[in-house]
Amino acid sequence: MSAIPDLTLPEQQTLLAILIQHPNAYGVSIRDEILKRTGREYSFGSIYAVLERLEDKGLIGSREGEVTAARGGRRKQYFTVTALGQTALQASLRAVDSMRDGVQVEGVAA
Amino acid sequence: MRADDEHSFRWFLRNCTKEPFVVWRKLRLDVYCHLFVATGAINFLATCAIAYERWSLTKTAVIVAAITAIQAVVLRIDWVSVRENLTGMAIQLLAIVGQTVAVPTVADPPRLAEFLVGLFAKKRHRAGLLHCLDEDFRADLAAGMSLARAKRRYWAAALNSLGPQLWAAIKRVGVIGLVAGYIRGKLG
Repeated sequence: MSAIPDLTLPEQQTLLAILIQHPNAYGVSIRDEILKRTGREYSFGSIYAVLERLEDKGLIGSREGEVTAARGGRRKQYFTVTALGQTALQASLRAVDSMRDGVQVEGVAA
Repeated sequence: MRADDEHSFRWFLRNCTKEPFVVWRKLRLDVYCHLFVATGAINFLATCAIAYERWSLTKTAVIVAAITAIQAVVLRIDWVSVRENLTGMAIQLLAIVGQTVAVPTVADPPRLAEFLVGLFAKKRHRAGLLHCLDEDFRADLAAGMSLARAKRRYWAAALNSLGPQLWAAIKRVGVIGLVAGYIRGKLG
């Protein structure tokens, strides 16, 4: 159990956004997905800092995409969640769910 | 190039040199040449002054840095004007030889902002991060936003991205550990 890394909220949100956007998850689509669902706008710097951490932990993988019309022929970088990433996300969400179980948050039934 | 075109081209070049813009440019280039020679002389004198201990290193560094900064700003402003004027002249020239040119409607994002973002980003994510910023910039332009506003928004996004990237870079390099070690060493 200790091999599964703990996730912070931005890490959870990023992993979920990658899963939702699969197989077209890259910086812009991840940012837009989080914005659409949570109303929170992260800068690309924050998004990539989180992606870097997740990749270092082996929770996501990346591949280079096609060259677009962007300046200098830069390639998009697509991200996918690894098996370890899915396990970590599941464990993290389950932990939140178990904490919520039976708790009455003001105005909302938990 | 056809004979007519060549004639037009020569006519254009002949008239170009009489254009107020070209005359003014030649004059300014002369001024720049003198300015650079003068700066070189000042730098040389400053070095001599340090060598003979007449000026402090700090004073000299401030003077040289101020002169260099003024030069950089002047050249930057001038370069923008030259680029705009040359583009206009090139379009005129092509019109004379009967060719049309698609005036670029999409500009590039600010290079300095790109450089700053790229400086602290990790190598394997640098292209992806810059691509994302670039995509937003182009989307802004495509939505009808003015170039100046799109550039301002690019700068804002770039500066916003700098903090997390800088923090990640600091952690990567281990600066915090070095500073902590230094403080611990000082405090015994």
